[in-house]
Amino acid sequence: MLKKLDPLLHNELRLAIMSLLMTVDDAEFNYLLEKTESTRGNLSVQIQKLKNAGYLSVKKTFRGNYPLTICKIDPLGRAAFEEYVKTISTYFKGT
Amino acid sequence: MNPKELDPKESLAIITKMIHQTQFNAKHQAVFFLLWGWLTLIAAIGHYLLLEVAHYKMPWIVWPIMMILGGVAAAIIGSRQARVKLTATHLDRSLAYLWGGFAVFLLTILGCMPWIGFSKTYPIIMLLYALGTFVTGGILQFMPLKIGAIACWLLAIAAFFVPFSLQLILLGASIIVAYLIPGYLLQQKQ
Repeated sequence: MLKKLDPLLHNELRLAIMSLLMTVDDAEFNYLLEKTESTRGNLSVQIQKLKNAGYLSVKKTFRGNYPLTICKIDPLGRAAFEEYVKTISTYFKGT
Repeated sequence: MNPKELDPKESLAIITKMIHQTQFNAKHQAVFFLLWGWLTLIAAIGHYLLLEVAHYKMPWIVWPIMMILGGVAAAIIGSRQARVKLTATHLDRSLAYLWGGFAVFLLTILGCMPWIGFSKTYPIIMLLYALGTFVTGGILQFMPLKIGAIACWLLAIAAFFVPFSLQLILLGASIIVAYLIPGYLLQQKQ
């Protein structure tokens, strides 16, 4: 019986956000926007969902006069991502 | 990206694509090698000329001038890079710790120069240059930096056994092999 994939990560945009954040210490909102080729609204909503689950933290600050949003993966998110990748690999072993 | 049901193959493709999106820009480091390389080379040659040709009383004066210029320029370049940078990676942090520690070591050695002895100070500094370059070469996985560092180490060993004025020439040579040549090669790297 194959294990169920984490529904929070099993979404195209949320998975892309988490994959990007796994490779960096932190990333600005605009970076995630550019790399995921998403819309601002959709990206904000998905980041909020991941934040509510404790998978990432969001810091809002300023650079000069402009607002700056910085996202950083949390230990819970890192563990969930690793588990997700492990589970996916069992799907391939099963085929 | 629109919400849709993923199959494991698609999930894996997203993960792979996103991980490859994040590439550390090694070119950003090249500017610091070139900046400090040229300033140090000018300082070493200037020191040599003031000492051997002009017989000036304070030939070392070029060092504080160049280092202050370098500090100001590096701070401006660093803050400009930080303004346009959208991510912070583990490599950025590793390099910041390395060169921060390097600066503290260098200033300590320069401050203790009268006690260490002038004849030993420059070879020790050359050993330090080589260490910084070697570790950076390892972090960036860039062979010219590693080779330059090894050449710099050999020049540092030789510098322990030659008169002070010749040490300045060896210091200049070590800067060319460990900072300038790898710096230009790093700048051209894709």
